[in-house]
Order: sequence, then C-alpha cells, then structure tokens
Amino acid sequence: MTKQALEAEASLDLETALAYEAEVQARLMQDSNFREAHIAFRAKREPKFT
Amino acid sequence: MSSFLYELNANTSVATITLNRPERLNALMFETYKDLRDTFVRLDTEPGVRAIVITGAGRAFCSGGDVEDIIGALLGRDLEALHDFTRLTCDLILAMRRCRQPIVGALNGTVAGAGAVIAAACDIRIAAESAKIAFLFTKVGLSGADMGAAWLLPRLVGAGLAAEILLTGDFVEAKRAYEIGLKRAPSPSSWRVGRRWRSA
Repeated sequence: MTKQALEAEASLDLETALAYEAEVQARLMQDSNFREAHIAFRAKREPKFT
Repeated sequence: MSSFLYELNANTSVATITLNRPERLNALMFETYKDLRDTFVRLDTEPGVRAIVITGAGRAFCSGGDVEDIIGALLGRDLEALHDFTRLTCDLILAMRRCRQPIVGALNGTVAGAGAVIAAACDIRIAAESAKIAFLFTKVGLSGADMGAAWLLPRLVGAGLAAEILLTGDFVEAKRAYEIGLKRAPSPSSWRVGRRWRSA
C-alpha cells in the first residue's frame, strides 16, 4: 500500500494526495493488523501481522 | 486548547505553538488535531504574525496519535467514522501547507507517527541532537502513507530514501536526518529557535 501510494502521489497535487491517503488509511484501520498492533503494544510484545 | 500552548511574541511577530502533554510524550488527542488545524487556518491571516514555530514540551516533540485516546478509540469504529478521522488529520497538514507564514519545526526527542508528518509539513526543520524521527505507520499495521507522508517525504529527501523510511517505519536519528536533508544543521537544543527566528 505504501509503495502504491508513493507511485500514485508522485503525479498528484497535495490536496488530491491527502484525500487518497485518508481514504486508504481509513479502510486499513478496519483491518485486523491494526487491532493486532494495538493488542501487541499493550502486551509489550511484537505484533504478528498477517 | 488544553493540549498545546500558544504564544505570540509581539516584538518578534513569531507565534509559538508548544505541544504540551509531556507526560504522554505530547501524544495527540482528537481535539488536538482539530485545534491545531483551526490554529493554522487562523494564523494564515492573523495580523502581527510573520512566522510560526511548533515544538514540544519536555523530552519529545510528538509521539503521534495517543495509543488509547486515538488508536484504542478508533478500533471498532465504522468506515465513515474512520474516514472522518483520517480526513481531519489530513486537513491539519493541508492547513499547515496553505498557511502563508513560514512554519519552523523545532524538533526535540521523539518525533513519531503523526508527529513525524507534522514535522515534514513544516517549511524548515531544526532538530536538537536528541531528535529521532519515525514514520512508524507500517509498524502499527497501516500504510506508510498517512497524513500526506507519501507526498511530502519524497519531495524532501527524494524517492529512494522516502520509500525506505516509509516502508520500514524505522527511526531516523538526528545525524542521519541532517545528512539526508530532512532537517537543518544539528542544534544542541531546540529552545534557541525562537531567538534565531527574530529576523523571520
């Protein structure tokens, strides 16, 4: 996702790039990896991402 | 404005924003993003302001979104509410870039997550030797492209380094940040910045 954003945003203006990142990141916040990161942080262990 | 201080020096015309939750390494709360955005929108046309310094109280600049107030609270929200939040964070960056006054980031200690993007959205970054910067979004299961990081960073350090910094999420120490042009010459401590910027 990071690489795709870097590629896409090279030719976008700032406002469009921000809208793009806001949309993608909001969707990723629903992903189990984001929850796992939070649980791992509280348990002081490394997260196990899928 | 409970989570940051605002001060305008009438002699220098420099406005200083000091993130002020030192016991939480100046972690941001929901209201902080909104209050900071509104402050930069206001400062765009504020009479008597010629430059803005943003810095952090205590041993950090900003450790990013608060682990409980933000990250914990976001878990379980629906897509619409999550999108409202990410749009707000992006609006803060847009307000910083649209603001006509130059913004100086006086970076100290931990500069992480949202704090790193706020630093990247400044016009000039001056860092204390203690400063270490991490765009750590991939380490919390998100895209490295957060708050415009994938737009801002390649334009500061070039595409190759931006990819490395965003993909790994690793800390960049002050010395390396200087070498790659992410910040201005090392400064023993960031508090002198206000003095330096009297001439801004």
